[in-house]
Amino acid sequence: MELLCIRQWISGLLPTWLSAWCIKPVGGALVRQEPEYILLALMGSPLKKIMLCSSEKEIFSVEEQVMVQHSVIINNMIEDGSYNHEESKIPLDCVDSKTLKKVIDYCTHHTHHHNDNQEDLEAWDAQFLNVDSNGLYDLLMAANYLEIRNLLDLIYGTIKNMIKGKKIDEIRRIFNIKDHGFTPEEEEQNRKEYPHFY
Amino acid sequence: MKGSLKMTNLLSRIRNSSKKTKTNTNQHRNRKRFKLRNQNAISIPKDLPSPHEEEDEEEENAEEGFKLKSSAPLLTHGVQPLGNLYLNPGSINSRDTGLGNLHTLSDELVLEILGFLDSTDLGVLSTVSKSFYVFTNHEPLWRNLVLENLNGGFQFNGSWKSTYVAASYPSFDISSNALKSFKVRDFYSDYLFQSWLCANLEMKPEWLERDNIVRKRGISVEEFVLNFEEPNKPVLLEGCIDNWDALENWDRDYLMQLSGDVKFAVGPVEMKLGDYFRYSDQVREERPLYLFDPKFAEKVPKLGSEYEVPVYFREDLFGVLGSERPDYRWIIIGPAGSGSSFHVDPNSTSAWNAVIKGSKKWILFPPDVIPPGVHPSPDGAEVASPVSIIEWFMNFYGATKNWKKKPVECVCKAGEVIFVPNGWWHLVINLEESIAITQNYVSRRNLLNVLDFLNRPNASTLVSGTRDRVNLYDKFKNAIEASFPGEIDELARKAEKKIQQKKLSFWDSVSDSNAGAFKFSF
Repeated sequence: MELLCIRQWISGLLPTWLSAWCIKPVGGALVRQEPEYILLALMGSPLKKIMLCSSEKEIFSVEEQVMVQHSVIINNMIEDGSYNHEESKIPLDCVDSKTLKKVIDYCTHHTHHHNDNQEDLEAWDAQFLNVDSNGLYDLLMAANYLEIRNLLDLIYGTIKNMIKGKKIDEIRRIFNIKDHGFTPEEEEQNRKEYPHFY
Repeated sequence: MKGSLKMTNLLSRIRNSSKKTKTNTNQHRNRKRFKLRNQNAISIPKDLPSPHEEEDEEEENAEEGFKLKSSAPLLTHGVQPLGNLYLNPGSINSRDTGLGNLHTLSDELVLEILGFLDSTDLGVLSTVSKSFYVFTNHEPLWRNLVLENLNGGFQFNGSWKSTYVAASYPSFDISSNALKSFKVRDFYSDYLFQSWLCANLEMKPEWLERDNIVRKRGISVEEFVLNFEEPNKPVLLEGCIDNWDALENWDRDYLMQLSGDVKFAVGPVEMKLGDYFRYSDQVREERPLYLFDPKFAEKVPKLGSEYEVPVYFREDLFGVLGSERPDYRWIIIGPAGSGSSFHVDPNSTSAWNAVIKGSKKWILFPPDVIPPGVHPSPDGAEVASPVSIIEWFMNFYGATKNWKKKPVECVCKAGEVIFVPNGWWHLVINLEESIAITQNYVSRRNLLNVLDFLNRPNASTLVSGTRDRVNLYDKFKNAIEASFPGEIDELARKAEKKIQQKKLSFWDSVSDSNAGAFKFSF
């Protein structure tokens, strides 16, 4: 809520051309655009930050608002006061730096662009998930650990589409399964009973 | 048998430690979304434990060993717990090789992914690799498919997968397929093994030994109110439902005859009694579906007429709301092993539970003692606890032996009624197929508590059993004022007096003790 008041105050101070550019009412709400944050920073209004520490001991500074909106775990930690802004960092030993950076990117984008239209967001998400396969599963584990519901749903949907409607050999290729573990007799049995799967 | 007992030893230790680290480092992570009145049920064999034959073996592993049901399909696919992998150096886990890139994910995540697939996709996956074969045959996946697609109109066919295939592909010959069952070698998974274990475990006799509840027979209502309702203590009442027709008449056949095609609430679906019994006879799973219907007397009025509220509980103030009162009475039917994991009854009400057939094991903790292994959220709306009741017994029951505040425990048999005071945590498990009736109620003793509860700011999430959560407080208060004018104020005055008296006595004791002790010295 504080941000809304600050924005209204700023829009009052700005010359019309600037305010028209960076803060526009869309259906009664104020749409956040990047320049607004630059302005806020210039005016010395600090957006609360929190520190996240990856498994490789690298520290990432993120807006509290961004993480609180997306991660249930972090939201709970801040809400019940176990996070001390002055001193603490939140250790995330299950998440490496590369993955943590991606997660932060996702949350930040979705917070700042939550009023974008659906297609733009989906296009951004598709681009975001354009990672190598192991990166995808690392992201899944991180999203699960931090309980970020929309990222989880996104990844589940992607993996589901990797499986749906595919034939057995395709799936083995996609998931890099070299040793399927069936004996020749068992494979034969499978082929006979489910020829349409192959 | 000995070999498998050793496996379970290892497993329980592993499970225990992982649970401990979870609670130590980050208790925020344990938020599984279980509602307060969750009817979790577990599956254990229908027979009561008969340890006599196996006692010699049991003696050796006295503390840790568990008895598996003798007819349990010993590890259908050959899944072993992770501990065994660590004992076999150089062994590869075929779980990992068969999952390919997905092997880095935990078992729970893999199963989450599979939960999004339909039956065809699961079928395809089961032929992709042996590892996927094991995962895609995980019964809960098929249970969800049945409940979502067939609702309550399913004919249980030995397993959820069989049930689904038989219903969805009637021409498909399942008999040959169901028998074919690939064995896996070198497949280690804690989650899948634990799931199988909890589905096939017997209740240990020592879990049933302690029976420390107060039992009373033929006491007066005044005595009950004075000694149990007022001080909020549980009690087991004997002989107070001897006159119930239900006690004489109710058995499977009678109930099926009376209810015909009427459907009763079973978990997320509604089922005919005959279909439910067909399921409960065959099922062997961690949390069997439990028949728990709040509208049984409306659906089959004769059922409502064959029992009456025991004399101690006749004062039920929610009655002033008439048909707008929240759900308050349930018929409960379930196989051995079904039950409810730890919860507090909703709306701050008290309850009584009468067993008509069968027997139930109860464990109760007072309101200020949270049971071991149970983690309620600060607002009380969510409770995280072990997945199945047997799991709680395996991992946490032992801890209660050393606690100062021991739980109240009992086995409640047919013809007995247990009083559950408001706010008390309780866990129930059916030791054999059981039929029971339970009611929640509000008397003058807990009226103020209930009003407080309904008036809470988050009433919309906490209040249960009614669609009108937000307005229930106003409705109820006004209805009470209309029927019993001045009652609420009177009760509030009495309660205030009590608090004042308590305060006075505290200060009395403080000043007394200081009288001699405090000395000036210069």
